[in-house]
Amino acid sequence: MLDSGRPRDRRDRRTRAAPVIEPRTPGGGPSPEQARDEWLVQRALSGDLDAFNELVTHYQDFLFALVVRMVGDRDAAADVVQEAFLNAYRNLRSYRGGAVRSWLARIALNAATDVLRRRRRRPAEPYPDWEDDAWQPPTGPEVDPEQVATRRARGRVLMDALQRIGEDQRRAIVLFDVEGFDYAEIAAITGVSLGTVKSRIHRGRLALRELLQDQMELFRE
Amino acid sequence: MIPSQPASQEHARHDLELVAAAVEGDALSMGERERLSAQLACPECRALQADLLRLATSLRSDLPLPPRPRDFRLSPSTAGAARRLRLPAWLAGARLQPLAAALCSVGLLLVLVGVAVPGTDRPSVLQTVGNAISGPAERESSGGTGYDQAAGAPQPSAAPSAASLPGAMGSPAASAGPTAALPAFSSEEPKSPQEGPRDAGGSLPPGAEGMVGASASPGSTPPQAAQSPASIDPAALLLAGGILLTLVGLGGLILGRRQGR
Repeated sequence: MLDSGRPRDRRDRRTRAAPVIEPRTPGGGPSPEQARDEWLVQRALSGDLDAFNELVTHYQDFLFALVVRMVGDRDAAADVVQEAFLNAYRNLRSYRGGAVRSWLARIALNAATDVLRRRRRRPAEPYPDWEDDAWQPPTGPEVDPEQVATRRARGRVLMDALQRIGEDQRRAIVLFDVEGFDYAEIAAITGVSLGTVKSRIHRGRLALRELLQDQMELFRE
Repeated sequence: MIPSQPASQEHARHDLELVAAAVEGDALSMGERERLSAQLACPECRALQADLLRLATSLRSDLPLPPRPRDFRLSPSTAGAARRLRLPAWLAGARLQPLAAALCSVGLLLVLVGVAVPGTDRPSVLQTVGNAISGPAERESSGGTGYDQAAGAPQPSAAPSAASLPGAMGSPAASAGPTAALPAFSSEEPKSPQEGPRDAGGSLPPGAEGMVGASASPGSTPPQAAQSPASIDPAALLLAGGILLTLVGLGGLILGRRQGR
């Protein structure tokens, strides 16, 4: 009854008790990505800008995707990501080891929170640019056009609904469902307890379902 | 329709978060499992569970991925500018904000205590704080400091009554004692009896007359009281120190917030 049918590996990865903030190889050492990132950070700390820019190259797509889902429009997201990389460069010494990806995500989310706070003070309707085709994944001729249209419609309504739920819940859902972080990583990134992370994810999904109640048929196809 | 009505009322009492937790396969206690099993007999809870699953799957696979509008690599000039703005390592990051918050708290506490202590001459405290902030620069630009003048050439002829007043802290005579460590106080000496309404006579507070008198007729009064450490009003000191600490703390908080992003 409890088996929800979700892919098993994903669920197991998220619920296991082992520390996941610093991905390790089975031998106990850091993962190759982490070892590479730490080496790049060390070089950047000694003044090597190319090393830092290599980190930027590795993580700019990830950070932009994360932030754009938080703030909802591309221009603001681009500014936030640029600011996040600048802040990361400026505060390289505050990096205390662990996953650089999580560290950068935390910096970018803090910057995104500032943008959202400013927006709350001065409300403005951002142009809903996820209707733009540039947002859609490229499709080949072999893909069923009806399927493509359905996926686009789902993406659009999901993106719209995500912007309407609470900021904390949105952050948790984007990190967990979209970016694939686990509970412990999200707790470390957002600075809240594991229980709070779970609660935000659960409530966020319930809020999404409430908002999309009339459009759930799209997802049942 | 009629049978579904009681079911909906029943469903309204169900713990939906429990269903959401089960969707993710979160560890549930024995009691929660039993409650969940009972709830999943409700068709609406089953539909909710299925919908939450679909949403989670769709979030993973259907959200559009926007193309990155530009390359975010830093140019040498941008990086140089970013480095120049950096705080010293001992002050950067997580250390600055707690320190600034503590300074703010202590400052506010001092202000509160200073306000609570009776007999504070508050306008003079504000003036003192202002002088402490702008004083050194002004004194330097005028070719010497009030501190130097006061310490180097004390006026032993200050009126004894002046020493017992908060306003007397501005007196050079007062600064000849331990108060000499407070350059701001010595910089607000009334320039002459002709300045302001004080010289009109009769309208001054009791002690302030002594100050005016002191500068108007040097050498006319005994110096012993002016040398006393008791000439510092503790409440005024608390207020001044509190305001300064609070301002410094606030500045630190703002700076730390910018740096910590």
